[in-house]
Amino acid sequence: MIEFKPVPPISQEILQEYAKASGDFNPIHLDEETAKQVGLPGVIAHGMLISAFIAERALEFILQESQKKNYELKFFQTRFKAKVFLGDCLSIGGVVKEESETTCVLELKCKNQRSEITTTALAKFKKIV
Amino acid sequence: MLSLKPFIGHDSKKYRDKITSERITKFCQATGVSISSVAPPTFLTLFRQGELEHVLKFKIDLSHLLHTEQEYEYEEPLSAGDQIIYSTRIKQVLEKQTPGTHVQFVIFETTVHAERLSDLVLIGKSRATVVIRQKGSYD
Repeated sequence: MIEFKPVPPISQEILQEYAKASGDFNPIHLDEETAKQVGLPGVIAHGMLISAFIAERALEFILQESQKKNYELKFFQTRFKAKVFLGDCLSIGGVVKEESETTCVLELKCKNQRSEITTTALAKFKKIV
Repeated sequence: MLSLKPFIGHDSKKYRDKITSERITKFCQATGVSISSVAPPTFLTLFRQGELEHVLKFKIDLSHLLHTEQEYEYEEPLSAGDQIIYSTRIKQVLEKQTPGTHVQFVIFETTVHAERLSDLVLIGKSRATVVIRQKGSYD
């Protein structure tokens, strides 16, 4: 089991900082009016921001919790299932899907405060020989 | 409405970029990751000029485009000081026509290399799946 751990609540400041760091200034992530004009109820978080949170949870699990030494991430896939809005409180966790002497595959999910799955992910690690 | 299917295999121009410790630090801070000189896994999301080139060339309306999936294959870590070269290919296009609506599922594949000494080292590949929905039928 990969315990579900929370990430900071999604705020406008977090989205602005991520926009500057990633170069994704799509106004649907930053401007309430623009988001509503395209039919959204409000500003939505960048899918890739959630993806970054999930990648970090995967690395944290492998390196700290499972204590697998010398494993590196070789493949990471995220699927965006539901939008994430301002104020959403997310948590990320999952399961070890497969394991061998030299590999480990994690299946992770991001859930919001309504227990809806916003994002799913697969992280494949390989032992550095 | 333009079908991208005939353009499978088309590559964007090659783009160059410099990985600085400042950019990595900003990204780490924005995503709640410990600061390091090695780029975190989703840092490759910064390099989307190739995708943008295709979107502009084929006049894809961003409001009709939804990013549904992203995957990365990693060969070598990317570090502060690396000079990268990347380009994006239209890897796959699947089409679905329902009455009045044309849907395209497009995979853009970006290949990233780093120039290290006199070698071009493969850093990895990223694949972005987008769904483009437009009213009408394709031509």
